Amino acid sequence: MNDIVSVVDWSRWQFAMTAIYHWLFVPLTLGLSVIVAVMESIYLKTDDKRWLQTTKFWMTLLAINFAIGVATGIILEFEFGTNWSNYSWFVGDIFGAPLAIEGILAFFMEATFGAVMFFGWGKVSPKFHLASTWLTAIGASISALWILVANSWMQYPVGMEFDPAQMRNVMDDFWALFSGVAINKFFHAVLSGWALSGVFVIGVSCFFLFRKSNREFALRSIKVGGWIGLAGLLLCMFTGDGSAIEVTKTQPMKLAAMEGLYEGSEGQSIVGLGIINPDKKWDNDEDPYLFDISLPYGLSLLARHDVNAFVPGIKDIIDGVDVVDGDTVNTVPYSERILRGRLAQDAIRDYGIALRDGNEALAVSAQKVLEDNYQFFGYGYFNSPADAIPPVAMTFYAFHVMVILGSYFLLFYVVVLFLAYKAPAWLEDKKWLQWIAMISVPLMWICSEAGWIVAEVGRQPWTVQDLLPVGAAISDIPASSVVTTFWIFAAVFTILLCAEVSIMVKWVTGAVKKDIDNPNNK
Amino acid sequence: MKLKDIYYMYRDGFRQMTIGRTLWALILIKLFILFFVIKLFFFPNILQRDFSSDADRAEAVRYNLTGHNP
Repeated sequence: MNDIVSVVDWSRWQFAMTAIYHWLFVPLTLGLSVIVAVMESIYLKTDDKRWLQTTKFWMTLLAINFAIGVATGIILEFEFGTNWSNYSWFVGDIFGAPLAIEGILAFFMEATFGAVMFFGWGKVSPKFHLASTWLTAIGASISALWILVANSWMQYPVGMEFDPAQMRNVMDDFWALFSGVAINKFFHAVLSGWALSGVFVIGVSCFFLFRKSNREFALRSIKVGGWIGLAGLLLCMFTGDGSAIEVTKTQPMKLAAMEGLYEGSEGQSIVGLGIINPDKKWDNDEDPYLFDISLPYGLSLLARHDVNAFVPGIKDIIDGVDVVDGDTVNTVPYSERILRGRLAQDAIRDYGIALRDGNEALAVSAQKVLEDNYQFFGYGYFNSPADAIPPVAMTFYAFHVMVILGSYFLLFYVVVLFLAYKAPAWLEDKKWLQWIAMISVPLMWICSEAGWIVAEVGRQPWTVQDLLPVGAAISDIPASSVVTTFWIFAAVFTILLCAEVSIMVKWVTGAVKKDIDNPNNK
Repeated sequence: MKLKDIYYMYRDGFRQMTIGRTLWALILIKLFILFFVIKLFFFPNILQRDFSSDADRAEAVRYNLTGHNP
């Protein structure tokens, strides 16, 4: 048992680490590719060579990020087959399709249009080059679409039927994969890349201003990065609102964990700032927070777009209580879900016996029991309802870090854009302002990663919501092998990250000494 | 664009690279480590490796998911 727990924990840590490292590179590619495409579009429209030079500078940083980041996500697929083999088999028919499309599409779009974008200057017509730059940006987003569709399916599994003979979920409606959860997640993640890249461009540009170098180039870059980043952030907030609505419907436990909410109410307030009480359990009377500043009605408004709506807490969800339109509604309590999950497991076992013995009557009855209880299959692995609660503190803090930093970046963009147009001398001369812009770059990455921590930690203990908890999804392998590869990945990714940062720093500091707008400067 | 032009685009692109050479070296080293070291030696597909047919794999997963409570 201890080894199983250890394998699960190490495999989760390994997946978390590789996903977090992978996401360091992805959002910058998603956003910077759009920023570069806009810059090149301006160049083609104005025929101003300074825009060409600006485009080429940022395209080089995009190339560095692309080169270092490419294929880092493939490791996650390695882990599925080795560490999570039960999961891979259980969902393979569904999860495999979007991942395969992503692999093929990403390879062909990025290999063809990316090559024209990086190598095609002067070799192809300016319009064809611009089209390639845009197609590279669009290709990156389409590539992300398939990954996010696959991820969303794990959070909200639809469009499939479980086949007890094959022991896997079989897709019966491909288009159901594009659920509200998937659409919101796609736009939220991709647009967060725009917001992140805008801050990156502003931060690097402010480094030029800090060193009193390439003033015109820096201000030009700040304006483009600022507008795209602000648009991305505003749309990100809009899709974040959509995601909150979806989470309320499909993963209420995650929403409750995001807010540290144990007992819900109508007109539920939202915690703007707080400290979680570590002694609080779902079945004791401790106060959930050691300290909190709450906004009245906030959570009801966020979750159900109705200030008076009821939002269930962790205890309500476990007890199977919700209130809709003022009426108390009994959902299925977790104690019952556990029992029905075990019935589903027994039915799957019986179905296997029926297959082996050729007992058709048993197969039919087992299938019937399975159909009636499959939606709670995963709960059968739990010994108590507490096993189904995600890590509340981590989810709570990650959510609040994301929201607080996201709000800060809205202010940041508004101030920077205002100054860039109305008082550029402030951006050029005020060192503290330049420092804030430069420090904001790593803060933006923290904000972005925090969003993923909310999404992934908040859905624990599930690999597939309601169907497969992490403890059942794991392979029967020794923990030591996972520990070994964990440290290998930690080393490889750290080296890659150091390489990225050092190459970027070298490129930027080298550019500081040159006149970027001068096309004779290589 | 003819095939010859595509070839020249790649060839000249590689030749004119400055920072790009370092990047390509990094890409190649990384891909080698990922696919020929990590994947080959550390990340077998467990079910593919241990079972010869899909029916056997299905039964193995059935046992894993129902034979014991992890």
